[in-house]
Amino acid sequence: MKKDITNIHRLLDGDAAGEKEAIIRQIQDDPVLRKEFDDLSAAVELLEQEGRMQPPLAFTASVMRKLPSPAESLAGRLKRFLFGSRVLRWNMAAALAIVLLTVVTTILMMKQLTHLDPNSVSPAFPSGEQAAMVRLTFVAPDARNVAVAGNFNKWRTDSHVMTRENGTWTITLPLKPGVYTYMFIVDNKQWVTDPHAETYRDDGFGYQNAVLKVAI
Amino acid sequence: MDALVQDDEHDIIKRCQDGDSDSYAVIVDRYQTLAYTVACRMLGDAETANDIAQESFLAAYEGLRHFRFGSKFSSWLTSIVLNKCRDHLRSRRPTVGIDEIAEIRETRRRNPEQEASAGESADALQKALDGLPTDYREVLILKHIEELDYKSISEILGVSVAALKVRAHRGRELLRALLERSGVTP
Repeated sequence: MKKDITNIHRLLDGDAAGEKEAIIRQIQDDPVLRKEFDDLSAAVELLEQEGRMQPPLAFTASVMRKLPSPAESLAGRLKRFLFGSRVLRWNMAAALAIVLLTVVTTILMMKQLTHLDPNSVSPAFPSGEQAAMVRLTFVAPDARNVAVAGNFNKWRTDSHVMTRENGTWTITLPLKPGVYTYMFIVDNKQWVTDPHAETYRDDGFGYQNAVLKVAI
Repeated sequence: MDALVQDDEHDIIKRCQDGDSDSYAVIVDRYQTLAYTVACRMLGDAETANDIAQESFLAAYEGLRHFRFGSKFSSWLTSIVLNKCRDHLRSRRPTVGIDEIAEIRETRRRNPEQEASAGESADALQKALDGLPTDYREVLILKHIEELDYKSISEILGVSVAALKVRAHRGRELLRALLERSGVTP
């Protein structure tokens, strides 16, 4: 009997190719074997017909979302650092610190600006040092030309020629912070002290140089 | 699987190994039913099976650079799914003991109709599978649901074909008993 039941399993495994007909005949002739065969076949058929399961619709998408990111190149990381969006976390202490820093910086800048000529701006020299743009004016309606010479240009009389505007001569000089002395030269011969200078200093030759203080 | 699909699969896996992760979607799409079915029938719980099947695909992807085409990808994936299922089952609950199996054999003829209304046949099938020892369940799933031959099953489980046939024989007998008890089969 045990051998007969083993034959049933051989049939179910597809292993009884040469003896298939003989085994089937044997099963049909024996009611007990037939019952065994029918019951086992029903169980196998149930497995084959009902066994398969369909995964959720988004299964593949879900797996793909969880895949690790491929190794990113240095250029890619830099690009993401510079242009990638990010969420900044903050709290009230940080916000207040930023506000305080902004206020202090603004006050300091305003304070420095008050030291400059109202017409001044602050470009930078090639060395990176900040400079003030200082505008000098001199009223001489009858002059043919006016230049300014001072310690900022080694007292050269031909390097900084002023421009006439309705009888008033002007020039704008980029100057680093410091103290400068200067004079105007009218018609290439007459040295004239700036009548609107804040202070003056003797030049040792009987004249007074105008004194200009530049601060940023 | 025919040779054309095998060649195609070889190329896809090579692309994945070269860093083209998008190509892996083709593999997942192709074997999702296999992985999900095996996990579902092994564990009897759809949600856990979904997690285990997805974890198996991720593990396969992580290990893909070591895959040398010595076996079919589907066999390799199936072995990963089964390993994860065994780990999960070990941490969850024991399977039916030998004494319980003997009791089922004895009682199945005494109460053939008691659980005739146990529910859908699919539910009854899963309950019956849940009652099988793990090694019997593995063989029946691969043999009669995935319809693999014993040579392929032997590669997946690392068990000889002769031993697999014994497990299938005993597994079918026990499955029949459990199904009879539930009233699904006569």
